[in-house]
Amino acid sequence: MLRFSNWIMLGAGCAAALLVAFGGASAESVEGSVQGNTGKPASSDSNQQDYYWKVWNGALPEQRDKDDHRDVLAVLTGKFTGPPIGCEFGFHGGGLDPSTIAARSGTTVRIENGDAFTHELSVDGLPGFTPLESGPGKARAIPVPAGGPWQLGDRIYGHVDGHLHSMRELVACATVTASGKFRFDKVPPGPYSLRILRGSEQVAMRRVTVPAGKTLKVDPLTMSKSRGK
Amino acid sequence: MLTRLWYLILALAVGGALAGAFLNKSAASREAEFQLEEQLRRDRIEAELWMRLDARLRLDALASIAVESEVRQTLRSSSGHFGTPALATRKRLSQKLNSLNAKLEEGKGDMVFAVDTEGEVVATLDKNAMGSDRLDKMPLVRDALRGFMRDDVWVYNGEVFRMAARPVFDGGRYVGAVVHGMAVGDDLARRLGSKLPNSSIVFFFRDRLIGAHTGGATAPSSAELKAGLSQALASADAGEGSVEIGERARAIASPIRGEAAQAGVGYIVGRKGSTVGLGGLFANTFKEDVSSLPWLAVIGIPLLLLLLGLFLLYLEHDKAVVILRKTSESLAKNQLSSLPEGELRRHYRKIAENLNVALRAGVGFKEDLAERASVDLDQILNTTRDSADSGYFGFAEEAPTAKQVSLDLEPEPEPKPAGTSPHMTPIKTAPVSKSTAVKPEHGVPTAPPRGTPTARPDGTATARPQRSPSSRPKRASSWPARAPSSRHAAAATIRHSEEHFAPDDPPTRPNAILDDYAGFDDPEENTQVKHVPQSLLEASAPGVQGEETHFREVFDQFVATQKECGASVSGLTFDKFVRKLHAAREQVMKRHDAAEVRFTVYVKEGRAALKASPVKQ
Repeated sequence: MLRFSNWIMLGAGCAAALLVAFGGASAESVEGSVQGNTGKPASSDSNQQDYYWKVWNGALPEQRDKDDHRDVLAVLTGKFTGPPIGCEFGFHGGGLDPSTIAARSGTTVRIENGDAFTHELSVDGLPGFTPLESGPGKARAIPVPAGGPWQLGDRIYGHVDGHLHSMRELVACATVTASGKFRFDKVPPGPYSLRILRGSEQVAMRRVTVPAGKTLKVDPLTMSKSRGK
Repeated sequence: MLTRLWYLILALAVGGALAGAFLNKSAASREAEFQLEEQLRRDRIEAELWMRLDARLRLDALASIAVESEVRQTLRSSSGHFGTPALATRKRLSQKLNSLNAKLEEGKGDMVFAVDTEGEVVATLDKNAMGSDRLDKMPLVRDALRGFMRDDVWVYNGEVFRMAARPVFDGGRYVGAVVHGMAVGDDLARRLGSKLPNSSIVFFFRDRLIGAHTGGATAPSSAELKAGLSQALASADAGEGSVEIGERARAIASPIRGEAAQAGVGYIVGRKGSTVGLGGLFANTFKEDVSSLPWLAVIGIPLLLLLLGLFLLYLEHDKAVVILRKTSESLAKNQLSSLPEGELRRHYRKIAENLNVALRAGVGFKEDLAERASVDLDQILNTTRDSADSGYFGFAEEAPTAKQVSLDLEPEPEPKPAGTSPHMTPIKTAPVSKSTAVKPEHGVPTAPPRGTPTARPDGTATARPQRSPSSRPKRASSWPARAPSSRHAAAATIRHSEEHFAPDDPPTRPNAILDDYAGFDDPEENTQVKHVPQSLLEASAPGVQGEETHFREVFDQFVATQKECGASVSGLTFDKFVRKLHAAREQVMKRHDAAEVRFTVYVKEGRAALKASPVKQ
């Protein structure tokens, strides 16, 4: 026969489990960072005196800087039925920021034009994602089916590119700063998969459990070498 | 035949020349179109180069802003870990940008940004709202922050700008960049159009014209260029050249180099070609071209051909016509008896042959033949005909008409009417009196009283009595008696007196008397009534006087008349004269089936002439 204190602990556990299951009142934060491969291959070309001349003229591919994480997106996936947290994207400074975006399958992704340039974002092969003009200050909601990832493009500005990931259990999204740090806010406690997306690939993944009542600090993730760009 | 061949050659030459001219026109039109296309290609290249040069000039002009100390210091304070400067500092920098931008004059920008190393906009012109606080993802800015100078085209806030950016140095490092933009509009089109004379230029953003310049009346309008926009763009996408946008107008399209080229920003250059007509073939002919012409061949060959054609024409036509003219004149002067058939060719020979046959047959005019067919033998016997082709001889072929008879009834010779035949002038006109008038047929009520001249109701004498053919004086039933005056010098003046009309006149004796043709108002009516002189009639009477006497008498009268007319009679012998008379008599007798022919003398065109009158007994 259980003691009264045991009954209290059992009740609290059940309540916590219910809160986690239904996205309840408790919401915590997850902090972490990425490191490692930036996608810039170690090459003797960069040491050449005419390296920039060759890049400028297209003889060498343009490599991103070491602290360039504009194409990196950190996401949490798990059993959560609420709307994705922090998964709102847009144009800033003349391009997609971040250029890798994710959306839950069967929902819509909202992309807001936050700069003064007119964009016409489109996805080849994705019905409903035709190039429509999106002026400054306007937003566009695009339905995302299962599948992907898809490559994004801008019909007006060729430098704008990105990738759209359709994820069935998407819970939250977080951008990665130039220093490689990311932070999820208002995440319900519970077990999740922390994934690092870069371009069309997943470059890191770790299972985490967000505890209730405190911020989860994740050890730095090392990104694998990107096969793509 | 040669002339016809020559005409064929001439027609072929003209046809060939025309075909050559039209072919040349077509070739010239194609050449003009090709030149127009080439011109448009050059225009596009020139426009590209001009816009690059203009961007370079703007980049150079931006140096005056980039080296400004306040700009450098503010950007350095904004870059890196120093953070964004205070708002007051940014406003102060914006005012500075305004003043510096105004000094750029023609290169004055419609928007100018000063961005720090993170691509954040620190300051801009007052008129530019801070619509975007960051430009770090724009390749133009990114490259400028890395130390490159470049230009680009942006679609910013719905407008198209030609951009230029250059880095800002301070303390040996890049601290930011200055970004400069000029709107693409009419001003840019005008500036570019000044470099491409006689052309029209429009800048477009998708299907919307954002700047236009028309190069005058010789250039297509902006509406024409806009109408041909889609076609020109399709041609440009296919890598082809210009397209036709109207009559003699072509245009070439090109996207503006830069990022916004994908946005459908570009320009069209249009030109009109010149009309190439037949006259336009010589529009570009220079003096050197004219002087280099082989004038000897250009003038000499046509001249030779002309002379050849004229020579052929002379051989075939002119020569024959000249021969015919000269021989006909000789024929008229009785210097020839026939046309020279042997000297003529083809049709002219045939004509001469036919005419000679007619001359030999003594054929008269057709209308006379028709009229002659309707008269009876008595009429024939009483008519004479002035035949020009009979030389001295005329043949009496026509019956006397009522009017002619009536003339004889006129009491007095009256002045000749205007219609008097100039060819038939009697030598003398015997006074006409009642006693000499022809005795009309008795019992004919319409006939005027004998010896009474036909008069009009107003009492004036008329030479044309209104008598029916049936009222024509009937022939006498017997020979007239010889008149005492039958020996007149001119037989034409001999008239029968009334008493000479005896009932027993032979049937060949005409009732009409010879008149002077007064009253003939139709000059073409050559038929005249000639009365055979009484002396001749008497001489021709059987048993009275022989043919020789008649011919001698006619000869004498002819010579006398010639002398009276002042014409020469040298070379005219009686024998020759008689041969003529014989020949004429034979001909007349044969034609009219007459038993005898009597000749009379009269004056024709100032000379003595003879008329032969058939006498049918």
